[in-house]
Amino acid sequence: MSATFQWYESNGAGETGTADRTETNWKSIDDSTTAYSSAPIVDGTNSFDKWQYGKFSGTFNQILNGLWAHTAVAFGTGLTLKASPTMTVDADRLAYATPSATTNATLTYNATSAIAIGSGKAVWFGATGPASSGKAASMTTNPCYTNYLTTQLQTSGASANDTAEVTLSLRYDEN
Amino acid sequence: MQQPRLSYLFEARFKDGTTYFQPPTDVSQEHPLTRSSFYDVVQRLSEVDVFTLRGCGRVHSVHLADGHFVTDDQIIHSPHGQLTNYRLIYFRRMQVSVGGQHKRPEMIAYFIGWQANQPDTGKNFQMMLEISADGASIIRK
Repeated sequence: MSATFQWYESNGAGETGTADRTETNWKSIDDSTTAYSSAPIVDGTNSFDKWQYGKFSGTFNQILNGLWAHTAVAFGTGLTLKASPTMTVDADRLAYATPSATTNATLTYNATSAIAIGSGKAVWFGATGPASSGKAASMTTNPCYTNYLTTQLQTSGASANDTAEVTLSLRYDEN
Repeated sequence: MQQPRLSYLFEARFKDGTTYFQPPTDVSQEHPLTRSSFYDVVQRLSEVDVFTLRGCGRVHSVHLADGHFVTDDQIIHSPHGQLTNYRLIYFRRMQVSVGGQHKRPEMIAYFIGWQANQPDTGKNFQMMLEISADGASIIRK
């Protein structure tokens, strides 16, 4: 068996975390329930920023070497995916902010192009939640959490209808 | 999410001749609710002599006395000359893909190897054997 991994999404002013998220769709609403088709993004505006993270529990000795990237399928013209920065020091982690459609200037990593996961941004791990201090490149505390893997889809001159279905990947090592 | 099964299980042979076998459940004997079996090995890390992965009809070992590997009966020596203080490296590489529908974590590869130091300078060296899910192995220096 391996460590138990769960995707979480935080929403609302209260940073309410929902476990076991099964999709990542950028929408014009801050929730994890509304169908994306019911909350389209108007060209020239942004999606609400999406605050997702991973939680590790179950049985493990250590989680380490985290990487995150947009790994497959190109976005169409006029679409830009911005993401939280790569982790090089603990202070690079993002503090939670209530999701909104305002351009999030803290999302400094441009993830529009698909790249190999080995070239992805570094993800760190912490013992008390995605925004908490104490993030490190490896973690033995159980449970532990990634830093926030926040994204926002920004549009300018985009075509109508659904985007291509892109793939985002999180890679990590465990033992 | 459902956890992937382990296609390779490890054995850690210690300098005193005893061997620890990873159970298929990968649960620590000491802390079965929170720790994997490698935690038990970590408690005796400096005593590990040979660390072996077995699975898919293949056998891959790292020998920590001098840093050589044996992979499917082929011996691979360290190119770094005489080093000291060999420390075991072992981990599994996992990947989760998300999009319109999230997928469960997949096991991409297993890694075994070591870190060691040059006796006079203390310079750190590392050498690992990567065993991919399809059984292919490659040295990573």
